[in-house]
Amino acid sequence: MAKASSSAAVRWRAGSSTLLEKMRSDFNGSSKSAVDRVRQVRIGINDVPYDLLPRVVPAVPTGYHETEQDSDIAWADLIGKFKELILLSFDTRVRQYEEDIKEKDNQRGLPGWNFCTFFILKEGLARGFESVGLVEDALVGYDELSVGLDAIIQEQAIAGSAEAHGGALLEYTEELKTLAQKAVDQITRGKMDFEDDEEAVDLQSGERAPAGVVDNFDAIPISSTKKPYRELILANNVSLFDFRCYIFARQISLLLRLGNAWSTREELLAKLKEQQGLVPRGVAPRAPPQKPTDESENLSQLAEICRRALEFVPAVSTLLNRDIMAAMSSKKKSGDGKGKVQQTPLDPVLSEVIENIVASFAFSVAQQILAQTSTKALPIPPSTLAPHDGQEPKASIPEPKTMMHPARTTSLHSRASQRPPPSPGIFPSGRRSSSPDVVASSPYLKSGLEELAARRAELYTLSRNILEESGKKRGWTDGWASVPVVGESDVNDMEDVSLDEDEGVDMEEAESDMNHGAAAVQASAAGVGNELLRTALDNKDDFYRLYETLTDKALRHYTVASFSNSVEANIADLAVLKFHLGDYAEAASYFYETIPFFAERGWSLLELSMLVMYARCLKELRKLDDYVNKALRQLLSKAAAAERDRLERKSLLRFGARDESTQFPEASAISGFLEDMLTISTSLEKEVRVSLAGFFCDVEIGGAPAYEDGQDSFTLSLKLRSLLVDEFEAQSISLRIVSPAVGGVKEIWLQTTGPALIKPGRNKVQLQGTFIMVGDYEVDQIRLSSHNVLMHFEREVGQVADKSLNILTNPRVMLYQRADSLDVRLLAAKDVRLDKNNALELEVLTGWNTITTCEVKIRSATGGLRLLMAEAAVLGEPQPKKRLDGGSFVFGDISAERTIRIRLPFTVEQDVLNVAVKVEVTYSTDRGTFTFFKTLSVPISLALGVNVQDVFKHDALFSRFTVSTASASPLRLFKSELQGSEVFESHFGVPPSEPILVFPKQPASLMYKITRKPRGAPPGPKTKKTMYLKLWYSVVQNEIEELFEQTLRRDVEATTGLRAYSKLVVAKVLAGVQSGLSTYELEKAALLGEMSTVFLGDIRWEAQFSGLGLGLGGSASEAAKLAGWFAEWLRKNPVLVLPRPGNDTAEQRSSILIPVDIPPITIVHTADMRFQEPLGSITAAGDRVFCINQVLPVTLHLRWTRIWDTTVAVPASSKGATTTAATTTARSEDLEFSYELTAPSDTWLLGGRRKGHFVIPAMEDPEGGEVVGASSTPDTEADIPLLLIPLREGWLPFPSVDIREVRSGNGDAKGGSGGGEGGGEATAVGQHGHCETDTRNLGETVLVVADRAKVTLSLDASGLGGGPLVLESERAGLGVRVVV
Amino acid sequence: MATAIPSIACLGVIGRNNNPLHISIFPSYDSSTNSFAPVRTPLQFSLLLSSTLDVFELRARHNAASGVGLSGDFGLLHAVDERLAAYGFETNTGAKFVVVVDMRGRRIDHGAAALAAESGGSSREREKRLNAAAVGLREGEMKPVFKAIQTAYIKLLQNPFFDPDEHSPPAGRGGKKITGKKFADDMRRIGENWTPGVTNL
Repeated sequence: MAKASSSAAVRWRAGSSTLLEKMRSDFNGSSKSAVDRVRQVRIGINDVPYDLLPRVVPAVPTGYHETEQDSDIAWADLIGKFKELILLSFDTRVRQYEEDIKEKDNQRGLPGWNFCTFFILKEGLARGFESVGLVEDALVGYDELSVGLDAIIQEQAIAGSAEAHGGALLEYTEELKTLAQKAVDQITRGKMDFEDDEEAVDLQSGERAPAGVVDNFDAIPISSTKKPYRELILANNVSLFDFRCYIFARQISLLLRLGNAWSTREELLAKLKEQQGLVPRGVAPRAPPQKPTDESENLSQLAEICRRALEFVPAVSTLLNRDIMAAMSSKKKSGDGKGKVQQTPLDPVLSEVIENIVASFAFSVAQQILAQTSTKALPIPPSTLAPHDGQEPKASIPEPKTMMHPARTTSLHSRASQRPPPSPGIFPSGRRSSSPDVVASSPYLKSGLEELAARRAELYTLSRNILEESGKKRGWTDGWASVPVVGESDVNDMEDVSLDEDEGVDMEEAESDMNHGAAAVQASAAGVGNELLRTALDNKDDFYRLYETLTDKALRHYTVASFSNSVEANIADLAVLKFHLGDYAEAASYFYETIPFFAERGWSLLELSMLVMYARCLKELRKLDDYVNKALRQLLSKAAAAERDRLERKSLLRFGARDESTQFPEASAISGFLEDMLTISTSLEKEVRVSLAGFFCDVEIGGAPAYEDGQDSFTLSLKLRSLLVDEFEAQSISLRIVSPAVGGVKEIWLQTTGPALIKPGRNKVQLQGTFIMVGDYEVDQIRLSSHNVLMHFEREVGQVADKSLNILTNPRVMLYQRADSLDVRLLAAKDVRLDKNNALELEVLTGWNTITTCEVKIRSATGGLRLLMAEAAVLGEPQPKKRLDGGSFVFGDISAERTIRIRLPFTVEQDVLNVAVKVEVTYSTDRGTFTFFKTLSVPISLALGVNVQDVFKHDALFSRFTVSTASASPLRLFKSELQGSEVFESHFGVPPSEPILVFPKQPASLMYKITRKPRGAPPGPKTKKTMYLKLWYSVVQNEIEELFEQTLRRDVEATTGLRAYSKLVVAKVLAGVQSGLSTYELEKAALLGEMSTVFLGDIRWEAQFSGLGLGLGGSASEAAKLAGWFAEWLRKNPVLVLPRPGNDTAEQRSSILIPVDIPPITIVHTADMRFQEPLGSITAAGDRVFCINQVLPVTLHLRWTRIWDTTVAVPASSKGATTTAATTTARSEDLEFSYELTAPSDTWLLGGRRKGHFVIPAMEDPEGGEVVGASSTPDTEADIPLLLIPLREGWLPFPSVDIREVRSGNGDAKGGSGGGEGGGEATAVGQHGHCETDTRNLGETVLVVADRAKVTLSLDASGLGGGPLVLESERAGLGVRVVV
Repeated sequence: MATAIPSIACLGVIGRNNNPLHISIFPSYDSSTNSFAPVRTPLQFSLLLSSTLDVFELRARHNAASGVGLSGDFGLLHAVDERLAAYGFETNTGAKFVVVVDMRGRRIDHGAAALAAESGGSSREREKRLNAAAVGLREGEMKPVFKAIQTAYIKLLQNPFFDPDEHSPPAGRGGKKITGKKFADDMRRIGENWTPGVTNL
């Protein structure tokens, strides 16, 4: 290569060519492939420093001028050429290398081929790449070598002999052997003290370096310069372990270069110290100021380093293990001579040493990689273990001390100072949960950042796990080993998790154990080369601190990596550690945070165990409320859930014949908590409410309610299966049953009679109910209280049972009344009076109860029904002791089988068919207090309706009563009676011998003749004028029901075993009868006098009686038994004969008393037309026969009477109403009437005084004894002669007579003639009330025939209009012709 | 000479909702007591399995992005410490299999192997495999295990009485564990029979 220099035109030599060309020809060679090695750069005088200038400067100006640009180009050209040529030569070299490698590779199969040689060759190439900056190519080279090494080992393994192929690698590493040997010696010499340990460490790396250096050096186990690896490899004197380490070291360094994180060894050491961070080693020097690097690290590459390290560590650990093993066994071999190589149980000392060395090595590697990959670009949140109020975690590192004096005192001190106050970050709402987001949004986010964080976290975890394993041997567990395992639901029974050495052993015990025997061997730290690890294993405090620090670092890195699962796992680790160390406050906060995470993901095993610990923490902290409400409740229900799962599985596997006796394999872990919860709950203010479903399964009502004999109470048995470990005493268990029936929710509470002991597994408690209310119920609440804890279960009525819960799959309960229990009946009064308030009759039957006190409360249950309690009366014996307001009666002693009758008058605001009354009877017997509740309903509508029609006559009144049914049912009318009043008396014909049947479409009529009592005084104000119609009747439907009831009751009670059900059966059957009876059936029954029972056969009786359960013993269910009995009964009684009641029994029937008012009629006129003399002929039938146009003289006879004027005569001065005033005047005044005779004009021709007025004189003063002027006398009667001329043939009705009052004061009233026209005819109701006209002739007719005796007709159509011609006719000549 | 070889320490099946479906734990050889005992408590294994879920998630994301890893084998998830390493596999229905391998879970005496060599020809193979194990586990080593687990899992799914939705509710979280005895037996067989180099389980 030549450097072009000097100016262009120096002409030392003659010739045309320039110096440049000369040089080219000299240096470039002449061959075609020659490379151009000459370049020219012009340097001006000004470019050269003065002292370098030649002394003599020719004054000749060059004449050449170049721009700056030209100069730049020239320089670039020069440098480019440099590069090109270097690469050229490098390329040649590489090509040569590659050829060599290829050749060597091809020789792989040949004997004598040596991998080491091959390695050196190939590595040369890689190093070449590296040195020219082709780092990635170099890395590829090393990767290939690594694989190659694996392949070689594989081949060797297959070949069976190490020597066979590829050259031998050493079986072991000399240094490791020494190290191991020393460690073994140390243990066997019994020098376990750590002073000697130092010595061991010294020995480890031989005597090559002073101790301090060794220490430092050992901190970087992976370094290509640690040993003269290349020489060793070249000399075929390398072990597999070393070989691997070397390759890995080279890979790491290349990767670091790629990642821009190259650092010197000193920096690395400093970093290593620094990263020990919180570890109070006191040996960490402050990091030397970081070299300012412009380029940021490539995080992905760093992550790759970590990844490789993670793979390397386990692999190399195995190698290391084998290596030492081989080393030691070879030693043995040389020592013992031949033969005895096998020693089946490994020498514990040796294995201990190996483990220590391996652990130490792995730990060191992890630490080193962590140090190498630490970067400022990775934003790790501040530690939660230290206060992060602005201070960096590093700030808590004690002042640097010399490494010779690891100051333990400082560590203790600093530990105390580090005690972190519970920072907000440890609560779930705090920093940590949100930190991934923070990181995600942070500007630092780079590619590979999460990856790196995760990898580093894994390295930390790896280190921690190594530490933990080492610690375990010393009995310093991380707490997990002593964690209670709850409800481990393992399918495989064989896994008896035996943790012999750890389980149940407290830390102290473990420590004490270590002081003697074999444990001492295990505790040795011999062989632990890593300083940090050794220090941590030195004593317990440091161990835990390091453990915590590493966990925390991993946690924080995971947080950055947003590895939520791992974060939670680490929190759990920390929590367990804290718990183990007794730092309950912190443990509790960690637990609080992490438990829900695992809970919601179904890691119930973890969750339960942690809950147990959490509960203990809270208990230690005396946070009783939280303890009970958060921890225990959850814990117990989770444990119960686990137990439920177990039960379910067991039931699935039942046929697998697994033994059922195994209950709660880990019961001890959670036993006692329940007791705690119960006792502590009493100290809490608030009641602790827990869901019953959490603790119990298979909650069932155990069958139908059981009734006790001789007493009105019932018991329900409640079966529950406790999932709790412990038994406990429930102070009370209560259960609510609710009737879903309409008309308000009815509820009954049942309670245990005393405390009940609830054992794990199946339980059965008896709940007693003293409240009897008939009906169908559903259980809707269960409450189980113990101390201050209330376990409750609630469900909606009618809700479909939740199958998953296994609680109350059949919540139905049916309550019925037994035959002899206390009962209440409500009857409508048998005798009804329409004009008075009606009454209900309430009967309380004591049944078998001998009652000491009894309170009957009666309330209306129908809107609009008012019970007039003030008028209520107790009929007969026993009388109430006292009566309370609001419808309560209190009774004293009442013996059994007595009846209290209470009559309750009532009013209703509107017409209702039924009224209902609620009756609550609270009564005490010598066996307790009971309550009976019943809502009774009774129909109050009238069974019949009566219409009346009155016909007034002069001296009698005929009333026709039409009795019709009010319902669809026929009724029987036994007897009727119209009771006379003071003014009137009634007359009836012969009563029928049989009761009258009244059908809905066929009413009955009763005719009464009413007359005024002869000596009746004029009615005064007090005079009772109202008559009463009394009817005795019975409704056929009621008869049928009664028949059924009586027959059934008799038959049921006659059947053994069913007696108790008589009320139930009767009630159910009657309900069926009521709904099943049709109108047709009723009519048929009424007519035939018998009732078919067939229609009852269609009802499914078994369903009706469901809910009775097995009842009073017997195999078949009671419902089936009853239904069977009833079917049999139906078969035996296809027809029930209705008793045919006679009239004699009428008095026992219901009766109704209807007031009948006789309407006051002021005056009753009687108009009678009589023919004056016998006229015409009389037919056989008695009718008169007249001829047309015959003049008939008639006398109109007008009579009147005032006897029906029953209005009360009140003095005019009284303040009575106007009507009474009017009647008063009517009686004392003359009344003027007009009459008018009218007839159709084509029927009658009327002659005489067709219209006229007449006056009825006033009545005399009635007080003078005999009434004068009450009726017309012949004097005051009018006979008016009239002439009638019939105009038509046929049956002609008489002309009608119309009598009207002429209103006084009216002008035309006196006028006489105009009475008919004006206003006089307005109404029959005149000024003075009613007047009736009894027209005697109403309906009478006369026969009018043509006045012909003989007629002769011509039969030809010559008559008028083509009709027959009347030739001759002869008049009959009836009567006298009167010419008007 | 006694050599420690890898064995399975724990088999875990994790459901789609990241809920544990099955965990089998296998004892490892403890050289100090010369006995077999699990290296961790069940709780620790649970925790370990749950933390592998993050890696699953990450890998799945990467695989989805880069379009690789269709086989579901996620390889080494996690090196727990110098002994334990977790390997993972995810089915395309989201069920995850985790195998935790204890690198020194068994101990093989070469003498015993030699003894076996006299009785059977396979011992040579075996020894080779054991030697091969010296270089550490390679990715492929876990394939037979996952395949066997998947077979067992598929067999479980074919059981008409097994309701997958019950174990991994489609919408919700959590789920029940697998209670099938046959499945558990399968897992047990897999865990106990595997040694490095076994190709068929």
